[in-house]
Amino acid sequence: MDVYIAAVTAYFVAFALFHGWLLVMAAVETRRHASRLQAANLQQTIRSPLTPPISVLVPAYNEELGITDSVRSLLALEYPRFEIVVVSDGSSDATIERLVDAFELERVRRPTPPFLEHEPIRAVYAPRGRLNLLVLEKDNGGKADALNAAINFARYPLICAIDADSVLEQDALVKAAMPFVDDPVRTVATGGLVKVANGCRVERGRVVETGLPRTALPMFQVVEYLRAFFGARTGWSAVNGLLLVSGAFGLFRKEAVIAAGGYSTKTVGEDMELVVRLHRSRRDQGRAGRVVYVPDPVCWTEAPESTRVLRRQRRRWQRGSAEVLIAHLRMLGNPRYGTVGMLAMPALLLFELLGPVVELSGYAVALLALLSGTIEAEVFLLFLAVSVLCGLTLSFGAIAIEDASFGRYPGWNQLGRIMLFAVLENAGYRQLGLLWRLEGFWQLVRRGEWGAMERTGLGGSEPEAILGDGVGLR
Amino acid sequence: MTAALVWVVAALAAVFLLLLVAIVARRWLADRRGAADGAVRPGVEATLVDYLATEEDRAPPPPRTVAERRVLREVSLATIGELRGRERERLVTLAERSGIIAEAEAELRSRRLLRRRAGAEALRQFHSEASAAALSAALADPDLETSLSCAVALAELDDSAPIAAVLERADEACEERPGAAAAILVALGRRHPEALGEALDSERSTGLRRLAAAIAGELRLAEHAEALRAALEDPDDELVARAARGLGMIGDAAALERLLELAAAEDRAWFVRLAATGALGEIGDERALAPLERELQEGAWPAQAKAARALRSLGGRGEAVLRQALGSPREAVREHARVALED
Repeated sequence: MDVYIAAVTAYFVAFALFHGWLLVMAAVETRRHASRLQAANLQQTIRSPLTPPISVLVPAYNEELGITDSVRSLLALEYPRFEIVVVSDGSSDATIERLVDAFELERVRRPTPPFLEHEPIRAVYAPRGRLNLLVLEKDNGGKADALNAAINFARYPLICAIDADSVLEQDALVKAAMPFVDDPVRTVATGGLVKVANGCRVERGRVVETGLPRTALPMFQVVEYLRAFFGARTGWSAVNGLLLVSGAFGLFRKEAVIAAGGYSTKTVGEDMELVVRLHRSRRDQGRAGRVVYVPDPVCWTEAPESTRVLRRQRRRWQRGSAEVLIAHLRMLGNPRYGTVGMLAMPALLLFELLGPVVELSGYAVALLALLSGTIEAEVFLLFLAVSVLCGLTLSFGAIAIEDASFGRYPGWNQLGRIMLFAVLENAGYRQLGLLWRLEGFWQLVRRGEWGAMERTGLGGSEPEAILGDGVGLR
Repeated sequence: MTAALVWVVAALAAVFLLLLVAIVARRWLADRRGAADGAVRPGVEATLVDYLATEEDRAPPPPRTVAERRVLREVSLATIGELRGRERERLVTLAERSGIIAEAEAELRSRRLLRRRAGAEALRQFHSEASAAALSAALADPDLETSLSCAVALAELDDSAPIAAVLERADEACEERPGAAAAILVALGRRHPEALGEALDSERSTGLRRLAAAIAGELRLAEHAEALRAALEDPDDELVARAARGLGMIGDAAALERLLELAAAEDRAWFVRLAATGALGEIGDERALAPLERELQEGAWPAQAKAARALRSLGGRGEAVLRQALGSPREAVREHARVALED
């Protein structure tokens, strides 16, 4: 038993060292990025004739309550040239009627471009005026299918996939597009910072007052998001090993997405699957490709407030990442795929997929060893201390990076609350999360649903997966 | 095992405490600085607004404290991107008189990388003629970011002396940092359009010529039409496609014959044919009718869409071709024609 405890401790240390290295990479990258983000730089990007126009794709399923505010807020984004393509994915409510009334849309005939397959289009609507808006009504096929339809109709070379219930800050598109302006040949995708909107005041599709959630569950998720975005994602981006651009807000080169075959409808982790496939297809074609995380453009999204929804979300994420790993197993440890094959995929397997198994079994074995007298209480407590300190170090590292570069949590009260919850999550929340992820993995194994498609429709207010975020040993 | 665990815990605890202290100390320092800046900010902003609003040549008194200078620099940098003409000139003059430009020039000589970058970035925003010498010297900075920022700043100046060195820098950077090289060429294209002709010269690297071709077109620099026409003869497909697009944007009728050939050239990449087809439509000569009709009938989806739009832009005879295409047995052809006619 003590051998197993020693092995799990070694795993904790390896985890902490690996993610500590990612944090260092993230710190360097964030500092570099923050130094470039001056207002005048953004203005130059906006005015440059080479700034590529963007098609913003909004898949929507039964979003009648918020869709018009979302579209209005998107139309007010600060960007030189863009269009909005809304796809109602077989909505059974009045999503289409609301849009038609609010934006004076009329039904038009448009040929369906043949680039990506999707469920049939029922109707296309365009405004009578000069608004850059196109609305598609199609049969239900899930979020990935709706996005594929939107890509087909998108006019511009960059596509921005967002959730209908996400709220973008006004300059989010400009900031997310900057890597495409900087390196238009190699950049294939960029992802932006997703923040928890719970506790913020949102009016007519805009965040008018920011704040922290008032309840514990979303507060824990604020800490997780910080760790995910300011720790792992920025670090992975610095070494071009980023495996996930959040489905809530991601910018892609349309031509690369079409060449890779679009979003997969056969996985619940379609956002991660697309990014991995982009890496794979670019490498297979012998072309360089960069997937960049930009730690500044903010997309606000609502985090689950109930354990039931959170549990479902975490199980789905775990299943999604397992499906992606299985679908692209060839890349694992394959030097042909560079950092992604040699580092990011093995880390996904070791720390994200096996993390819950190793950590939970470590706790169980240590407890059994303590009860059976195989180890002393001192060893047991030290083992727990290692586990807790690993998580705390990574959380506080991410908090330090965020505070030093952007400082979006003003006042000692907000900073103090975040630090407090970074400590408190170790007393149950973290372990619960591990259990849910283990359940997700088990669901996949038990049902034999490798690669099976789940048509859940869209809707809900769940943010997309935070994978590769070092959450395994939080 | 206990001893090993104690060591691991001690190491992790030390790192954790270090981070905690770093966060608290940084936040405390930032708060102090924020309070100092906050106290002087309204005064600095009001002074700046008054200065920019009046036509008087009298500049406000120079900043008295470090905080005032810092806030003035910050506010000026945040504002300058929005200003044009006389207001911009006045703000640059103020930055020169208040020592902000000199401070940024001094930063360019710093041994600290981030200071050099900050200095270069500030000078890039202000592009004060007074900083030409410091910027020219910093073109050789070993840090690419700093050096490229200086190159953009120099490209924005009226002084044409450093243009050759700036172009050289852009040429060196266009493989590793194409976006930055493009920013240099855009600045040159707006301030010194003749320099783009040098960038299009066949002696330059293909990467730089590609960027220059795209920018000459985007900025509609008709004086470079001849250089773009020469680029149509280049073996590099990407360069040819960009030159074709550029000639279309400029509306250069002299390129028509060659564009017609390229639109029909089966041995060239599809995107060359597509770019030539689009350019033919933009130039609007009726000789483009036949190749455009062929693309509409036989091309792939994007080429069909582009050809249909181009035909529409040709007016009466193009529209006649589109109306004829409404009777095509191929659904895609009919649809493209219909959409083009309806738009």
